[in-house]
Amino acid sequence: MTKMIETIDLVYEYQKDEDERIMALKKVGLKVKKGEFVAILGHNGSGKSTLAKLMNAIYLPSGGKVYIKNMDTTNEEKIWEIRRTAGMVFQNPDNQIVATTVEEDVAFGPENLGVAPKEIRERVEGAMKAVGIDEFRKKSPHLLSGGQKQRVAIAGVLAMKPECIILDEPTAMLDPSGRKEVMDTIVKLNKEGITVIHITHFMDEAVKADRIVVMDNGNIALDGKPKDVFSNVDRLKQLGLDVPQVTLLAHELKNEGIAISENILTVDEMVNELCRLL
Amino acid sequence: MLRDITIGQYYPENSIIHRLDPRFKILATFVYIISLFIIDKLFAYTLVTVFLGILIILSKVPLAYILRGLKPIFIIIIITFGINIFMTKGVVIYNIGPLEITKEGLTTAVFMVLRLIYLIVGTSLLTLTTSPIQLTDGIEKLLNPFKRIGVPAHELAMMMTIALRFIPTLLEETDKIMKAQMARGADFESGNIVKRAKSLIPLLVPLFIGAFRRADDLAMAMEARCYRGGENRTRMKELRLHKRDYIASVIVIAFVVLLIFTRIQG
Amino acid sequence: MSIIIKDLVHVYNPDSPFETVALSNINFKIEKGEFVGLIGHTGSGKSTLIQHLNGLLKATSGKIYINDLDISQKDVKLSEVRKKVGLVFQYPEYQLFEETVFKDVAFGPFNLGLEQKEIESRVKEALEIVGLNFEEIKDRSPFELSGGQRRRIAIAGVIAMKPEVLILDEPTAGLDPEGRDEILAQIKELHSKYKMTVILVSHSMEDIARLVNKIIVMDKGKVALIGTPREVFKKADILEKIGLGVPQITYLVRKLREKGIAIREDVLTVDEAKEEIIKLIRGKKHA
Repeated sequence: MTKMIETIDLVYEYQKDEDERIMALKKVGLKVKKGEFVAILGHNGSGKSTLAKLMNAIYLPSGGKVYIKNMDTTNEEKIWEIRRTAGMVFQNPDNQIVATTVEEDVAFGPENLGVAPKEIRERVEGAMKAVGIDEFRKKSPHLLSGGQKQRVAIAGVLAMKPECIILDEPTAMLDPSGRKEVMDTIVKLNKEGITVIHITHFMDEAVKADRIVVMDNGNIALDGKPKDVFSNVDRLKQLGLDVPQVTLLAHELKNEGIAISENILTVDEMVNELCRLL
Repeated sequence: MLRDITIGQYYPENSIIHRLDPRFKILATFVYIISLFIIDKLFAYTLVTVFLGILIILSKVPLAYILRGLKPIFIIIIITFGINIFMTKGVVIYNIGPLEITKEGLTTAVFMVLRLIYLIVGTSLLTLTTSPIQLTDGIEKLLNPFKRIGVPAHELAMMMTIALRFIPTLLEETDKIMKAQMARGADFESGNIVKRAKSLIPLLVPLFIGAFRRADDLAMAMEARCYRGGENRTRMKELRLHKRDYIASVIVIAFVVLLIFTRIQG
Repeated sequence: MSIIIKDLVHVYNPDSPFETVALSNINFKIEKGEFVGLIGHTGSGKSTLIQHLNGLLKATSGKIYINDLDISQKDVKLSEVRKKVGLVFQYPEYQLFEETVFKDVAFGPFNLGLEQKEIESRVKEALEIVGLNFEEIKDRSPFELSGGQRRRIAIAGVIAMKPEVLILDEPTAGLDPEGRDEILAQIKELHSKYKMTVILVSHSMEDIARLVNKIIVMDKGKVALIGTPREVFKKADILEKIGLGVPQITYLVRKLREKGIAIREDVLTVDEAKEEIIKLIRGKKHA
């Protein structure tokens, strides 16, 4: 197994105001394998966004270490290589697009890396096709929908040829169709071998991951396969999180003494289970 | 009103003028502006008119679209015309009450207004046929030689790009905030100047805070995409001079020489 | 307070090449005290519609009656309309501008020309409705508070105008589940306890199914469906054709019926589904 990301006893502290220091992360140990699709859940202020920024060397640890492909994020010489390897997509689709046309924006990353013009052109073409935005190449970003803008942002990262993409609530500001566009893109890229760290509030998105990490109060509260994590309905509710409606239904039926499996995440699984019982 | 400003707007079309190198077009526009102040005779004005006419036809941008750019400066044109026609001493040809219209005044007024119109039309033609990216690239490249004396060429160009990128976004945001405050009973339209200025606070404060928030986000996103200034940066589209640019240069130089000649001849 | 919309049409940029019909022939009625869910995807005309209800946009043609007052008439005082119909925009926290929470929430009531004492009591009440402690928060700067708190302050700013109709455009967008549930609970209370007529724009079919008693579905500038949640969500195929979904429970029920299981068709929430399934399982055991 190859490690993509590893954090060891990671601590992040910051000064909120004069007499208040906040410990956003408290000794977080997390290993992400190459090719994995990890969803990170947690309510606001649980530390998940901080964790993402530490993985991109935007923040540096107050204690402990973050390694991206065995590169230490505090090693200044490696910082650009780290950011190229683990690209980042942010929440607000408007505030991360730099250029005045789609293709110029996708080219921004490779231009910064000093890639030769001919190769930039090829990478931009490839990245735009991969996320399905090549028909808007000449368009001005403000004319695109939220979902399209987020796909431009993803293409901008792809053009840097990353091995991992960290997405910090990329769907929070989108409508359902935009969310679907972005999720389909993420799932596709993961199938093609890119490691994905996806931070979200939406349970239906987390269900699609290989693994879910739940953050609470600067610590990892739960970590496991979606089925295992979501079977802790009471714990998740206590952490202020949702569970899919069918999972909740299975849980409630079980509480009523019905012999139903609690490992239910989708409508189809629930239908099968109920057909067995009825 | 905002919709009428054609300066700074790009009109996508695939014409020879669009394909010319932006560096050449920027320099040529400068030369053109200066030459507008050289000319002083009807013949020279005719030459400029013909020249501009050919350029407009070649650019494939509709004339009506270009002329729309004159709407915002209509008042300035009227005032220029008025001042020149009444304030110039010379042979009186007509009287309106105490005001005298002179032959010289009429000529100067017409020429001044033409100059103004040609100035706006010529510069609009630059931005209409050159995309913002090409324009900023061109400016960056032209300023590059002055880097040694401390001109931040790359930074200026990057600032222009970001400004062009965010102007529409901020306009949208202005509209949104205005409506939100109107829903809370804010009134942006009535009252005297002081009251109106004060009524802008609920609009301007959120707008500024929003702009700073965006700037913060954007800086982080740029850093995450490995932005570290202009050093060692490459461009996807490199500017390269073509044969057409050399030919166009020769034409422009010939044109200016001709204009200078008309002046000396007088 | 009833709202009647008659043959409402709105055209953006009329007589220009950019002409777009945003609303065409909208007709519906909302009775006093109803809790209405307005759904439709982006660009369906929802935002344009709600901006007509408090006079921010003028109808190209058609009539809008708020309590028998035709607000599409020219001589209507818009301040009167805005007093009656409160509108909370998306991400309302971005409209905050005052140095203290108190002043910001007081902005609306102040614009209504109320007396200081009345303003103060309204601000206090509004902040309490959105679950904030008046004494603790009134002198703080809105900009030092958390995103969820700012959102609630912005909503309080509209509630303090004591509108009879409150329209909220995706009030929970971008919040975490806990923040979302808190705000929805407060909106529910405004409806049940304060008898406000509420129009809620939302993308979450689960939230809509749980809260409202009438749904208006918009598609391409028209009203596509209108009715109680049970009536509307029964038409899952129409909703899907428009590009909208139904609550996950509704999907479950549909699939179970396809498999020949005789579960009631109009089940909408987890609790209802639980009861129905238990009935079925126990009924089978007794049979």
